[in-house]
This record gives sequence, structure tokens and C-alpha cells, in this order.
Amino acid sequence: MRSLMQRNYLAIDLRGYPSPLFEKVCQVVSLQNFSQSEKSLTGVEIETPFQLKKVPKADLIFAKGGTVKKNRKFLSYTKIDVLSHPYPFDSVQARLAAANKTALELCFKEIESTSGYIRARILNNLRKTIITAKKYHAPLIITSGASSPMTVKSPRTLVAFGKILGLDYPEAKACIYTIPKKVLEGVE
Amino acid sequence: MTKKTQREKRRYIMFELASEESFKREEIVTGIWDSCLEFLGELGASRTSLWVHEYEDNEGIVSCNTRSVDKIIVCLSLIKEIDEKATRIKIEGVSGTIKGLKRQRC
Repeated sequence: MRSLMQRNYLAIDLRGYPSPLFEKVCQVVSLQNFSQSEKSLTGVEIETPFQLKKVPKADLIFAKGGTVKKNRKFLSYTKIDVLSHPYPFDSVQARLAAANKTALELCFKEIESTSGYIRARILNNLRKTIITAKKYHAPLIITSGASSPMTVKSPRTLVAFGKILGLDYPEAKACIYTIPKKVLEGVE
Repeated sequence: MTKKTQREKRRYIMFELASEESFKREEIVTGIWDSCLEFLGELGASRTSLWVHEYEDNEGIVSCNTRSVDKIIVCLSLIKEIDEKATRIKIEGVSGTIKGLKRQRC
């Protein structure tokens, strides 16, 4: 039975595993493993800018960032919907993300799969990303990164994740529903 | 006796354990505290007023102060194994009273 808390939170998970807790769930795969399915939302993740030329017809296009140069290159393309792993993040990237309406992804799996020093560095980077993104009104989304039924996170957990990174409750809620919805509407 | 105005407000969090193994209450308490100490540190964990109230049939209730609800939810969600047995914790609800939590379940 779904609890009261889960009924209260409308949510869309743009990188997760299908679950009744979410209105829509997008399953993201790498370019090599991609195959179009008509039943569910699918996303494809590219790792280098030149892979954009051979990107298949997917519902969403994710780009995996990692360096300033790579991030700026990805953010200059309007074709990309979501930039995952957006750090190191600066004001130039934030302006580009806001202008091109490319969402920046904060993935729960990144802190779940790490520990100690690495987790602390990731949390620090995510916090800095949020501060810059808020200043320049760049869209942010929170995803679970779930790949199996066991790892599915409830919307309340994702809101709590946003809250500990420095977002307010309304902002964290927007990151799991309003902004992902806009991203999907932009694609459709 | 503490004045009513000075008393700390608490929130109760109900969780469900998703695991093939069964656990004793003591193992769950250790697992939750280990996760909190790892994620928040000793000083951070001390500020949460964390307490494990009950655990039965893979369901349990923890409580914390109102400032630390989100931190505790994230700590619970980060648990991957307890006593070297793979497990996950799902958050079922948050309420101001245990009675309220049980009402949510019905």
C-alpha cells in the first residue's frame, strides 16, 4: 500500500527504474547498449561531443560531463537535454545551461556508490554546483540513478537529498517534478 | 522536568527493510548508527537526537529532532548492507507521532 507521504509527492525520475512511486521514469543507457522501446521513456547517454553525430532517436539525450572544457562544449549544443556529472561547474557553464535550457543532473547514486573522501568531494562539488546554478537560474534535476527494484528511492528521499545539498523544500520539489516535466515537454 | 517550550520537537520516520535475510533489532540499530556516523560524523550524528524505537517484521521506527529529518532519511537510504548481508531501507513515512505513522499505514 502506498503511504500518505508518497501520495503527496508527484515525481518524475529521469534516470531510474520503473516504479509506481513515480509518474514517469526514464531509463538511461549508454550509446553502445541503446535500443528504442515504445513502452517506456528511454534516454541515451553520450560521453564525448563527437558522439552527438551518431546519436539515435531517443526520448532524452544525456551528456556525461567531467571537465570544464567538455562541459562547455556539451552545454553549447541545444540538442542535449541533461548534463549529468556537471562539476567542475562555473558561471560560464551556468549561463549556457540557462540560455539553452539544459538541465543539470544531481544523481543520488553518485553518493550511494561511494564512501569516505570521494563521497565528501562529490557532495562538496554538488553543493558548489547548486550555488552557481541558483545564481544564474540554470535548471536542476534530482534523479535516483536506480538500476534495479531494490535501489529505487522514494520521492521523499530525493527531496531530502536536495535539502542536504542546500536547496529549499520548494526548490527540491521542483527538481523532482516541475523541471523534469518541462524537460520532457521540451522534447515532445 | 523540562519545560514544554524547551522540549525538543521530534519526528518519527517509518522504514521498511528490503532484504532476503532477517535481522535482530540490535543489528538494525548498529547498522543505522554506523551509516549515520559515516555520513554525518560523530558531531553531526550527536546533533540529530537519533533513536531507534521499534523494529519488528522488517519494519521499524526511528525518531530524530525536526532539524535532522532529511539527514536521517538520506542516512537510512545510504545503507547497503547490515552485518555483511545485502539490504536496502525504504522510507515509508514521516510523522509527528507514532500513532500518526501507524494511521498512514492503514
